[in-house]
Amino acid sequence: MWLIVLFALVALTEGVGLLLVAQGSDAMGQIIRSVGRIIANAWVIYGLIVWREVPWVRRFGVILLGTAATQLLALVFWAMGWTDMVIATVGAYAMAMIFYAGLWVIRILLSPGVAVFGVARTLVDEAIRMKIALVFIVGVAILIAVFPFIIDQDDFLKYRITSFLTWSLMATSALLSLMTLFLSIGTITKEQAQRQIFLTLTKPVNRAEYLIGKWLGISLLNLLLLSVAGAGIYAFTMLLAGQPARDGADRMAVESQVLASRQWVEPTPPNPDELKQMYDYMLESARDADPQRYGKPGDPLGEVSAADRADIQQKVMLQWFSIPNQYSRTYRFNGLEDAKNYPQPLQLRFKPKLAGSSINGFVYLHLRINDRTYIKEGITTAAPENLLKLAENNFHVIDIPTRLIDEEGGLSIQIRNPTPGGIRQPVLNFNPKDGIEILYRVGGFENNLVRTLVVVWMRLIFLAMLGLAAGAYLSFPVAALVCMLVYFTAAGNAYLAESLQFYAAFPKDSVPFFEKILWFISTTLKFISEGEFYDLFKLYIKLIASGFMLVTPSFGELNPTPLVSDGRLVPIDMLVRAVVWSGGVWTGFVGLIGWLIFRSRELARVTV
Amino acid sequence: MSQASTQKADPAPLSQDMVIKCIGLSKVFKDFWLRNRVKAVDTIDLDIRKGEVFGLLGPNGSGKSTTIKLILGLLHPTAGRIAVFGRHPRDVKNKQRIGYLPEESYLYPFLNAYETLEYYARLFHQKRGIRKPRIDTLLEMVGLQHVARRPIGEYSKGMQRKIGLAQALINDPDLLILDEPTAGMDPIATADVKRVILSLAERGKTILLCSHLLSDVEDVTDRVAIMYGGKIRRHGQIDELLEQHDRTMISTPALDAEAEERIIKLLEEQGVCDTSITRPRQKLETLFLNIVAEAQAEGVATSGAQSGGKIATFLESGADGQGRPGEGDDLIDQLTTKSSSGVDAEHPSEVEHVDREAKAHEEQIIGSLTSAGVETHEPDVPAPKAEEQTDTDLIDSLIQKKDGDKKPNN
Repeated sequence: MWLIVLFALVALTEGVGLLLVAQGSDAMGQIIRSVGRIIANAWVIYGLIVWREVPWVRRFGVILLGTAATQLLALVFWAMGWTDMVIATVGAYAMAMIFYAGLWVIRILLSPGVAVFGVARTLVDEAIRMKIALVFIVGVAILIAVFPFIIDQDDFLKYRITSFLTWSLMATSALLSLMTLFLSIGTITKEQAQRQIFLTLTKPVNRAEYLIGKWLGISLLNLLLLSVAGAGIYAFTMLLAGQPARDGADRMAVESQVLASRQWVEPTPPNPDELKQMYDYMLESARDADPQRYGKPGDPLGEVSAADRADIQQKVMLQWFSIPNQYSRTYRFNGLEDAKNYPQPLQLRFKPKLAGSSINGFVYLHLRINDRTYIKEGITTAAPENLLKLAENNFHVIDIPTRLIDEEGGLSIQIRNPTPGGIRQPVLNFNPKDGIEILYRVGGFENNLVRTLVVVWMRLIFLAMLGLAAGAYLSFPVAALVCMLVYFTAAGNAYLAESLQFYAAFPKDSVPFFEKILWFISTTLKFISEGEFYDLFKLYIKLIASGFMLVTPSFGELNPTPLVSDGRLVPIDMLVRAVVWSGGVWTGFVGLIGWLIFRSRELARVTV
Repeated sequence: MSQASTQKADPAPLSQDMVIKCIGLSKVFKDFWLRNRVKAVDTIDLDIRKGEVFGLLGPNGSGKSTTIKLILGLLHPTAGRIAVFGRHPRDVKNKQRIGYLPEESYLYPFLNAYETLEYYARLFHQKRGIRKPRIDTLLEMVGLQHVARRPIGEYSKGMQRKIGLAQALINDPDLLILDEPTAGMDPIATADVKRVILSLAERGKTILLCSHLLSDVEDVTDRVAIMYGGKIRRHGQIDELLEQHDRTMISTPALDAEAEERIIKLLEEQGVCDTSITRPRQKLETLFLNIVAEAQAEGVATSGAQSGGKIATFLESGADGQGRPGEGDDLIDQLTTKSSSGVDAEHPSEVEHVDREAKAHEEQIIGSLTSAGVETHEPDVPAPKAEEQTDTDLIDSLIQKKDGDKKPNN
């Protein structure tokens, strides 16, 4: 009735008003229209108050109030000359509106009469109304809206955007991870403590459906929150990109290196056996020096511990990425066939460092591409040398036309460490990880951002199930502790693995399991008899930590944030691995464990 | 058949009519070191048949709630077996037919009443077309339709119990398990609950009622079991358990002193000396309902729950479970003309007559309550004249008996 009266009122006054204007009574027409609008607005306010208990009226009222408050706040900031705050306010408002609309969509999606949907929908309501989730949601919205304005405004625009993307994605991921854990653990432990679960599980809902419903609710909520955060990140990235760059190169860098998704190719030796030969040589040298540790020359490679093998491999790579003075090394980049299909040039990205003092902070080198000397962007020559002077320890990007890609789809880059002006330059080296590589643009930033959010979502999906599984059996504090331990282990898996490698001695991988047990017993007795209790402690800490890491997924391997903030393509295989492993295998495994415990658990306690 | 021995009602063989069957059921709670800490239920046998209103009574800690939780599959028995509808108590198929109101209303405080019922309806896989009218009628039935959009967390305990009852009925259950259903409720709501229980029983539903309020149990149950220390101390038909076989009570309209003297004299002549004549008192519940009815008739405002409306259509007799009304109104009329003890109205006894009078009075009050704004489906009160006539006949027959039969009644 409210809307009918409103529409009738507007139609009547506007119609009569326009009719009068058409007949020449402009003043009267305008008066009637103005009065009609005043009455219509008054009627809207009246309806909002009187029918505030009706759900859709309440929603409409909230939207209207939110919009009015935002406009007022933005107006105040604008009057005070704080344009950044105006943008931040409007941005936060837009995110809130997307959230509100998304929530409405989720509630509709979960409205059919299906038990799992019922549980999921109630979970979403709980998350919003109990304000646990709301704290995190508001936190994410505020951080995203504020980050662009706390980054150093004098920095290169490229770095400002990169920083914003890194920090906003990290904050979103971390906050939503924490929220997911608290929510999933909280909902199931609280329902057991407050016994709401009695009513739910005496209905035709089995315990698997209950867990799935909870998990579905959290996952959908996370999807919504990631969508809101993603929209906010995208909007503020575009806002930043629209700001003035330091110079033309900065602007170009923003377009081609940040707001892009670029495929990258790492170098390989032109001779496939080159690295193998270096490895063998280094191993033999090590065996000569320390046969007890590395074995005698000719022993099987399996006799060398995994840690030692990794150590030698690392040294080989460091050596391969090092070029002594007056030496040159050729790096081969294969698999560039696809790059020919893209209009943009290839980007040779490298960061030269010297193993000693540089000449005024500069590095000198000769660069040859496919046996032609590089002069400047797009130009190569048959001339033997052209000395390039580059700032040391900085990333440099050189555009290379795609026409230089040879028929095999590769590109050979030769770098020589020269002696500029007769001064011997120290060893020139590159970081093996990303010190020198070829990149080419394969898509836009948007696609990359979506892939990143999907990978993060998969992580949250796993955490949701982890929290539910832990909460199904443990009390809130214990479950939270366990889950946080798993989360931080998963997030820092790579660092932990590296630290543990050197923490204490362990039997070699090739040692049979039974012998390993005997080794542990004998080593334990040895440490006790020698009074080396600290070594004993370290041994068992490593044993526990290694076992724990074995059953913990590694988020580090599935971290797209550095890629997207560096304008690199989040590879499809990372996406697939995230879906299969985080969202599928690990979630399923943890869910199965949780269900097995939960299904046989007595929900009621002694009350006599 | 009632038993005075401790525990173990005769376990009847499992039949189509058997809704709950427990054999040698025990529940022992153990401590951290797996030592027996509490024996909450101790080797009990229990049979509840289809259509029964079964009362499970006992003081605090006697094992009533534990027994109910065992029946619902929330606890696992330490020993013994349970079958609900012939299946394991945790079989999900069973749950489709069960409604459960726990001893406290374990509801989500952040949901409002409508959302709460919607949630539980979804758990029963009810489509919108079915669940919406059911929720509306249930809210009306428990008198909370006007606060349906308020969060449950803001409700009083009694209001929460009403929503708890509504959720237990959302699936039109074949077995309704009510644990202290009237706890925290005012007498009006209590009367409503009893009305619902009787209505459902009339439809052939099975009800397991657990309560401390013995008068409530007495009003609605067919059979009871009284527990103490985890054992069933006594069980049987409520009438059989309560009947005083060594006393007779005659109820009549107010008599003058002369008539009273004549009756006493008559009884003395028959050898009955231990005789007393007193004025019957109405129940406090009846008085209370009367006062509230007057207040409501005067239009006194309240922010609490309103009187319950008519019983939800889909719960009425003859409804097909889809919310369509059947012959429910007629059956409820029949129901409320009977005494709460379930004695046949066509063959009234003296005891029944007292109950019927009280019941008639109560119906009058409920009628006046609901006429204040809510449609009533209470039956007409039986004509007083007919009752008076019946009473006169009884006295006459008693006096005539004096001449024809000198044998005392007791």
